[in-house]
Amino acid sequence: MSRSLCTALAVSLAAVQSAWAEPLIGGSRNTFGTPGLIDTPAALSLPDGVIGVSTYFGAGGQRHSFAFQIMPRLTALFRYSRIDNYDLGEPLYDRSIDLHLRLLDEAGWRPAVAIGVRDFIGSGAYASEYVVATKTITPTLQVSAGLGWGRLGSSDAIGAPFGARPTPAVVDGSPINHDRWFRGDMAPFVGVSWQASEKLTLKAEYSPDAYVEEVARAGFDRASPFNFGLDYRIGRSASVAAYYLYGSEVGVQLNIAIDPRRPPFPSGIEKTPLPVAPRPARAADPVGWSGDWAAEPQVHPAVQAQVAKALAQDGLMLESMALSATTAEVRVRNLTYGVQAQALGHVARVLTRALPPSVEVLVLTSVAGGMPTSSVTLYRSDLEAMENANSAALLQRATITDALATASGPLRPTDNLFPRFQWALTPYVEAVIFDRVDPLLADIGIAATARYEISPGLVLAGSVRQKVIGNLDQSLRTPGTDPVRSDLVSYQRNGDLTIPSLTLSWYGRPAENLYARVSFGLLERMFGGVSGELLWKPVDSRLALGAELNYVQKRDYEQRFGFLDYTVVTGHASAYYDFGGGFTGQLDVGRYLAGDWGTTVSVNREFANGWRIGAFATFTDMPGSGPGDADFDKGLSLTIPIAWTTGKPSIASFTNTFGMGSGDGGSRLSVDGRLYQTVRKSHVGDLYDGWGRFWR
Amino acid sequence: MTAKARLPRAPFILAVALAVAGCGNSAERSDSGSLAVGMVRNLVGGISAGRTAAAEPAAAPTPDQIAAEALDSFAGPLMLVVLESQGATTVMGLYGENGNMRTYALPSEQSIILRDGILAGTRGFGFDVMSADTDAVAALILARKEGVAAKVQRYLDADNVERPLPMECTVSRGEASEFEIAGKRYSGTQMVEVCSFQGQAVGSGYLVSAAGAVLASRQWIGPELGYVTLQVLRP
Repeated sequence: MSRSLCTALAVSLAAVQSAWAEPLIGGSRNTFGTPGLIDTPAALSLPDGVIGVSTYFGAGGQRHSFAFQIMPRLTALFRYSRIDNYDLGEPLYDRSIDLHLRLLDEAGWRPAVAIGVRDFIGSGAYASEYVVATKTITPTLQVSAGLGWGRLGSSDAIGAPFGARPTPAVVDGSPINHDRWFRGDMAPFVGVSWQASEKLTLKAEYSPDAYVEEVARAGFDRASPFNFGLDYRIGRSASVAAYYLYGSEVGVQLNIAIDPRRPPFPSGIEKTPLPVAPRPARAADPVGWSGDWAAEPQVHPAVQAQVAKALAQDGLMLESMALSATTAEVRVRNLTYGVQAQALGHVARVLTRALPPSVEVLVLTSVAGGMPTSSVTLYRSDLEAMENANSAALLQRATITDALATASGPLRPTDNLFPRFQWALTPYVEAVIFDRVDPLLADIGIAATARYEISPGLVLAGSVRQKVIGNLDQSLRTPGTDPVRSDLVSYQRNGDLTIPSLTLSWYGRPAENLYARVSFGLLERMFGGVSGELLWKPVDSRLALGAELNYVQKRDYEQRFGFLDYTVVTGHASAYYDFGGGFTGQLDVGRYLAGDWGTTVSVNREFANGWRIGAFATFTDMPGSGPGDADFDKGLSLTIPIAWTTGKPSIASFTNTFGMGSGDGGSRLSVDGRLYQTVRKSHVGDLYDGWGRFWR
Repeated sequence: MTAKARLPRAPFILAVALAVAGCGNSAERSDSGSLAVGMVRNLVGGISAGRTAAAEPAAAPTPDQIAAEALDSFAGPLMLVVLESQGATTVMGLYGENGNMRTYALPSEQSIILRDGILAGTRGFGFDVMSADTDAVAALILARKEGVAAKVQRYLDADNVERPLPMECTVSRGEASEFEIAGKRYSGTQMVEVCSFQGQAVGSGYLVSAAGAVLASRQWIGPELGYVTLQVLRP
């Protein structure tokens, strides 16, 4: 479990910097992080797309939750938790996932109704299910009542309408416990919340949760079923809560809500772009308008040098250019703007200022990973006429094609661009948190990265890391018996001058609609070898198909040039689909790193500004990794664009995966520069979604 | 469950964020502005340098002083600008011209775009007007005629969509008026424009010369940025 710390940092950073998220709907979240009162749920939701981060410290332990409002009615939640003195005096560090679905909204006399499953995969320490109704009595008073099973049915039950609750098949790392849902004792719960002032909400509830294990093992004193709490809002996006629990215990909680739709600066605070420069009248520049200049061999290089310089000042790289009396094509790499349409807007305006007047057709070709991906053809007269007008009108005049389908004459490479060498020296942090064996281990060190681009699309890249201080080498985890990924700990123990990656990669376009990648070398920390990928993605298609084949060998734990005695052929056939409305899906079928065969399904909710919330699950034929088994890999992922938090344009983002998998089954090679995400940003879907930034 | 090992990439991701603290040659975006912005920045740099040189809590320069200094050091068209939400008085210089549209750049490398003197856009303020349809109101204001006309201002939302704010604007004529700045006198007719949308109303005012040019104005940018006041220093 690396990377969580990073996201926690990123999330809190974003929250602190923005403080713009909407207030939470209907009060606050409960101690488990879902919409609710104190320990019990309520039939409420977060605003659509909002991410709710909650940290609870109190009697019984800690709960750190990330709630994602994936759809207007569906909340998914990932939780790290610690239950004190759970196992022979040792705490239980656990991860769990909840789903909460609001079925009905309030209407007339009818209350809102929601159904939920808490900790439904995972060890089941919090396993419970509920149906709950919430009614707003007055604008400041809400009452919730419901029925609970599992923990929420563990005292004062009123029956077991759906039969006995089976004992989990596996105690640790249980599979989806669907045979236990809504089984066993059922108990009612009820609660009330009163918004006493704009900032203060008071809450009281009757909770049937008996805290059986906490009482038996950790000295939790459950003297009464009643809980009381107060929730105090700080600003628009945060609140603190304090609770008096079960007649004898106390707890405190911090809630932060981040709304991807409410960035600190929606239009960004980057400096003003260059305006359009209209062409002079024909009489003022007859030579330029005649096009005769195109016969002069020195004109093209001079114009290209000027364009390249202006683009470089805008954070864009002109790789090559074609120029005739009427048409110019520029192939541009975007080094700066998270939204490709904004990059194109800058290119277009620079061209209006630099090209001779007879050039009317502007072909803006995006280059990603060294590959020309799409060409946007615009008319210069349109740019002149439609500056400061509705950007959608310009989009209607634009033509978007495959870059290979565009013939605008011989491309001249920009002088002195390749080979291109870049390096960086940066600190790094690697952490393991809330692991059952290693609750908190971390290394801090220095990483040197270098990238040598021999020609567009042919890249030698690598990095070296040296730990400065840390305790990852003191990990108590034991690697698995036939390890593929479960021996990560053996790699983490080695922090002295490691080579996380060193690769030679080639990217190319074999034909129209096709993209290719070959990577060779130390592909990732744990595997080296060769990796090849082919992607079919027409520029205007919602569907993309890919194939990847890798032959890799396990790297030595020292992470230099040695290898271990394990080789495998792994690869997948993949289908990607853009459903529209910000939803994308991916299906991978193939052979995983342990030689197991199976499938990964992922669904993402994406915002045009770069936020992405995803859920994935992998099922393979490896014992223990099937759909009904303990170790199948599943989880949530979150991507936050840096530009969202700072308001400054950037192509950088944080990604964190909240994973539940534990075994070696269903593991994939982690190779840089996979094609789909590289290519799609400049294809029709993303260009349309981002077009509002063309003139930014 | 034991540790999870999907993509051991945390350090690299964090490293991206900490790149500021590190070093390297990979800085992708040059911060050097373009020529015109640089010039404007230099001239205001001169102003503030003068201010600090005057030492201690010297009084802020008056608009007249700012104007005079700007006119001295910048040859092109200039306007005095006050963003009321920020309070400070500064100048902006012509950065680009396209037909009846003029882009003026502030020393802060933000810009204000005017079409016939009427706000058509802003850049770099975080809550920018991305575009505006101003022709109908301009026809009334520049001709110093009363009437009702439509106006649209568009704002970028977090989904990168230009959200239009359609307004219905009533234009009325006021008194003749004049002002003097940096030793030069400007006179014209006051035109008042009251635009209503979604049950709200915002008012803007323009001083229009006999030739039909906007000499000074107070215009509404948007809910977050509020009003801007503009005054011609050199047309």
